[in-house]
Amino acid sequence: MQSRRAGGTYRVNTRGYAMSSQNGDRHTSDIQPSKIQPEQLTAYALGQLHGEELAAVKAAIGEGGDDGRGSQDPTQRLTEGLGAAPGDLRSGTRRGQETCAEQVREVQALAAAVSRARNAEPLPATSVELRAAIESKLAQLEVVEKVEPAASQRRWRRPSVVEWVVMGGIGVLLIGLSVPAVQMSRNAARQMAASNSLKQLRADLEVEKALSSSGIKRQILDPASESDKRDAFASTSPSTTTGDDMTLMVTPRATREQDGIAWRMSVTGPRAAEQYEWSAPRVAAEQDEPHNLAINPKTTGSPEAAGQSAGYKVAVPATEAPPSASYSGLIPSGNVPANSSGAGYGGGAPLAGGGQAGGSPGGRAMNGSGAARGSGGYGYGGGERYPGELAGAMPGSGISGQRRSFESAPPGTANGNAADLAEIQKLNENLALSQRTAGGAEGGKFQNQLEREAAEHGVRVSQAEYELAFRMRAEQKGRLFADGEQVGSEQYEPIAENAFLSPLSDPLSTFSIDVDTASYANVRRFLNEGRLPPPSAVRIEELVNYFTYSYPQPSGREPFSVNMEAAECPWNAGHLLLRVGLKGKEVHRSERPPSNLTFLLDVSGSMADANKLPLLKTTLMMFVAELTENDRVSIVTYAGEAGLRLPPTRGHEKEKIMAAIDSLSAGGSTHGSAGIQLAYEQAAQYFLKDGTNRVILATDGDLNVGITSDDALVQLIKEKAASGTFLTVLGFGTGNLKDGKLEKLADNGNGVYAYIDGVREGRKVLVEQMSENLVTIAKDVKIQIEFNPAQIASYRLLGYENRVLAAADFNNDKKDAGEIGAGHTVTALYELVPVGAKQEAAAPHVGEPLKYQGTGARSQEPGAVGPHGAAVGSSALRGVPGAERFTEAAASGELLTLKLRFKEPDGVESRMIEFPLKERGGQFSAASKDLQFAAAVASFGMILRGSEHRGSGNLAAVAEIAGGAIDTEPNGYRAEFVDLVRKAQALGAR
Amino acid sequence: MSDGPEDAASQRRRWVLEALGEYEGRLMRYALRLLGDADLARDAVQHAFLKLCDDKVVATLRVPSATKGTTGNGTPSVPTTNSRLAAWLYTVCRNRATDLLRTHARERQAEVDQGDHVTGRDADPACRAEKADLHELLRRLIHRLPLSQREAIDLWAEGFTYAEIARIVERHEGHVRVLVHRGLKALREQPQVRELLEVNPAGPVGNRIASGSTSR
Repeated sequence: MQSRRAGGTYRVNTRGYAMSSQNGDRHTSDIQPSKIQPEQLTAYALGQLHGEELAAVKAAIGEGGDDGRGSQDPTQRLTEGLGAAPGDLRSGTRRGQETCAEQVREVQALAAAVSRARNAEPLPATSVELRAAIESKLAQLEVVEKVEPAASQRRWRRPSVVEWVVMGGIGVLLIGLSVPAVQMSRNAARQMAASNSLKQLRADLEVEKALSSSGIKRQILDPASESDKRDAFASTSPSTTTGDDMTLMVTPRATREQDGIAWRMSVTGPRAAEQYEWSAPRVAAEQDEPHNLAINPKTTGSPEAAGQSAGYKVAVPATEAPPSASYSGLIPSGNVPANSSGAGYGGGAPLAGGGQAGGSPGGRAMNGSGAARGSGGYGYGGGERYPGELAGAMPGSGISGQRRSFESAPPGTANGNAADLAEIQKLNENLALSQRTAGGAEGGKFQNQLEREAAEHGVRVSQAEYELAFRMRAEQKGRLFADGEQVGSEQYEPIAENAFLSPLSDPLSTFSIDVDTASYANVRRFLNEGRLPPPSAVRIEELVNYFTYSYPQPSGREPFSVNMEAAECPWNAGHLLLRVGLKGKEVHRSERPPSNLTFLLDVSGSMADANKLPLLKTTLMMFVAELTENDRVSIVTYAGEAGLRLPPTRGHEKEKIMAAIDSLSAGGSTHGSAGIQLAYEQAAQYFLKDGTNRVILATDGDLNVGITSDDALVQLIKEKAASGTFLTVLGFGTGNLKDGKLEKLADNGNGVYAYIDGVREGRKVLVEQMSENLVTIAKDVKIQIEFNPAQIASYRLLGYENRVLAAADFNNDKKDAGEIGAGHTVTALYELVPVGAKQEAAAPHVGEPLKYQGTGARSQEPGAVGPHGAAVGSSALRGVPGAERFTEAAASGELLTLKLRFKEPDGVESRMIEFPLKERGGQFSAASKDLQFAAAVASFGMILRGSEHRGSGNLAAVAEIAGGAIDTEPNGYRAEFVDLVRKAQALGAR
Repeated sequence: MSDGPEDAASQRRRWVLEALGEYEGRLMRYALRLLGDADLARDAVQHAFLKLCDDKVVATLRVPSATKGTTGNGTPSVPTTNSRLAAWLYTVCRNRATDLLRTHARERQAEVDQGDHVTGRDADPACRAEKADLHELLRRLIHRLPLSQREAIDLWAEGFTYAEIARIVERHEGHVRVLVHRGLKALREQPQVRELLEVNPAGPVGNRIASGSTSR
């Protein structure tokens, strides 16, 4: 029964009783009479039926009426529930009805009994506790309501502590999940930006490649030394091979600003007159990845030269992370005889691994230069090579095919940063990846864009933009150093400028010559890094002497020629500018005498920077390539893994020497005792009587060479120099340069002090000027000039402040002075105020009126100055006023007499020669180019120093003058100077 | 309410206490039948009345017009002033009882013999005895019914309509009908009940049963 009911019941019930609703909604409209269920009947019996249903059931069972007619149906209705056989009921409807009625009555009776039974159960007693509980609850609620009527009306209750904790926990969880996602997305964005920049840069280089194949000469730049810009084609060779199809690879050099912004690449055309700049329209501060800002060639010089050579300058902003990356460009080009010069350098990893390439016979690639910090450098797809990669090149045949690695040298970053290296490597990988995925279309698009730009900008003058870029950078960073201020832990001796002196009181100007060039290289380093140099770092004589002037070779037996020239002074109208030039006898480096060289190298940890030991090694490799079997080389290191690295080895065993150089590495424990003593010992082993004996000290400033006391060190150096072993000092690096000390050591050691700020400078110092620096043709060279008071009212020596000697020292052979090397030129400049010029200029600079002479001695009477040469007894002239002392010589019209004392390199006695000067020259513009250029350089120096004597000198004039004087210079250094001037302008100097 | 909050509170109080007085006993009896344990039953009943104190409940249940539970013929003897209130109380109590049963999992008492020690209302011992036999018989038999049927019958005996029963036990009304029908059918088929009912319903015993009078 139940099963039967199970299926059919609910179907019917749904229709019949609307069971879905508990509210008792009944859908009783169509109750089938034949389908009354037993429970319906029971319900009816219990009185639970209503309405239609009730009526229907009533009708079915015959109650409520004599409704027998529908009895046929009722019997069927009752079939199932009552259990009677259908037949029974049908046969007698009345019987069915009676059965139904009986059933109903039964049910009712039973139900009544049940009900009574249930309700007869006595009720449990009311519980007192229950009532009490209810009442207390009510009271509690009332109290709550009185206190907080609103709270009790609240729709929601305050979340509990646990709920707060849970909500907080969920919130924290969500935030925690989102933070890494944000970081990752930012990293991804940055990587994308970096890779885009790198792609752009690479595309730029592709453009350059394309341009190069069109026959445009290119040039490699060494961005570490801006001199590359002008040097390009001739620096490496005595003979310029301008006919070569050379390709230029420009690599960016980081110029680190305070905000770490600019990268800059610059290239200059092969001819000094041509200067092409592709500059950035602007250097945006917010850019923090290298990219090509613009390609904007600009031509200065002859327009017809435009098509023949090209270079470009690209300014690229640097990253915050020091651009330790090294780019290297590989240049496909024509004739590249491989040679042992080591002038080719491996590039950074992306284009090539770090290190030098070439140099030794067999083109062996040497590592360790340049790219030590940047071996993961920005690159172009990981190891991609341009076609025609060459392992080396000979400097003598032009620089085609050379590969260079350029290291940026951001100031202040003494040590490489491993994190930056890692980042750069990551960038490189990203770029490689993006290139693989991006496909060629994108690269081509960049290239097209850049080519379009190049074509567009082909003739547009971008000087203003270039300057603007520099100026912007200068504004962002421009920090001027106060005089004497230290840069990092660099040390400079303050300089007290020479003042105007009157011949009446100081007729003799005595100084020792100086051929050091470190100051210029140092100034160059500062300017390239985007800072104006501290005034103490600017030594005018070294700036002027950096350049080669075309003085005639000495004739006769003197080892040098003396040239003097005077002209109108460009920065002070009415003044004269006197140039004194000495030219040492040239000895080609192949004819130089045998040499015995000991390198004393600083390998402290701070030398690990790319612009220090790696550069040093590069430089040494170049140098070693020039050695012959007459040379001996030994290497001693100090301040790190100290000791003898190479016993004296003959120069033709280049492999051995290079291996020793290669094995140098910075760092290691400091071995205090090894050092300069050891170096001198090595030098003494093979001391050459008739040759050059040198100890070459290379350091970035650490001077713990094993002797703690400075005085003892100087003493040792002087002794050794007196015995024939001179000391040359090479300075490297940034931030630790003890400029003053190093110069002093070089001076005491009778040697040269040079600052190596880049590969090019290294090559210049150790290769090109090898004979100059290694072959001394005269030592203790002093100059004394006696000015004719009849002609000269006052004079001023430009520079040489720390070389000035007392007049008595001139004849004192014991007084040490400078040395001249073979082929060296030494230039000194004087600013002269001729008699007859304005009173103010002529007057001695005395703050108060003198008792014994007026403020302007302008008498032309012959005086009592002895014949020229009577340098002794200058005290007799002192303080003697008046023209009555003038001699006849004073009336000769000579301006001055120059006297020169020198000793043979191994001599003890000095010889003297003297030359008078009569011509006072004419217009400045008619003077020789050398004078003009020297004047420009001196003016530049004075401006950088903020000298009070600069007169009307300004950088614009300097640039103009220098620019006009560079065409005689074969090396391109002069063009680089002009660029430095512009940089200084951009940095805010005027 | 237009009265002040104090009046509202006191009205509520009065109403709750009224409900308490009216329904406590029945609810207690019902709970006893469900749970079989006096302590648990008291817990359930207390729970129901405590919940009744809540204002929202009061607002919902307290309707001015008390709808009397419809009673058909032959039915519950206890009038209800507010069937919604009653239904609500029984529902809450039943839910609580279910929870308690689940928690405690007490074995139901085989017999619900609390009635033994409770004084009856009849004076006549014979009648009482006779009735007691019948009632006890019925009680026992009902007790043996399945829970759902027993519940339905119990609630019907308390005076609820099928609709209300359906709401209380959370089943469909048709299902309730089925339950009641099956329960009664099971009872009817018991031999003892058959015996009692064999008597002609129109007869004296039957009449007596039907009328439920206590007098002979």
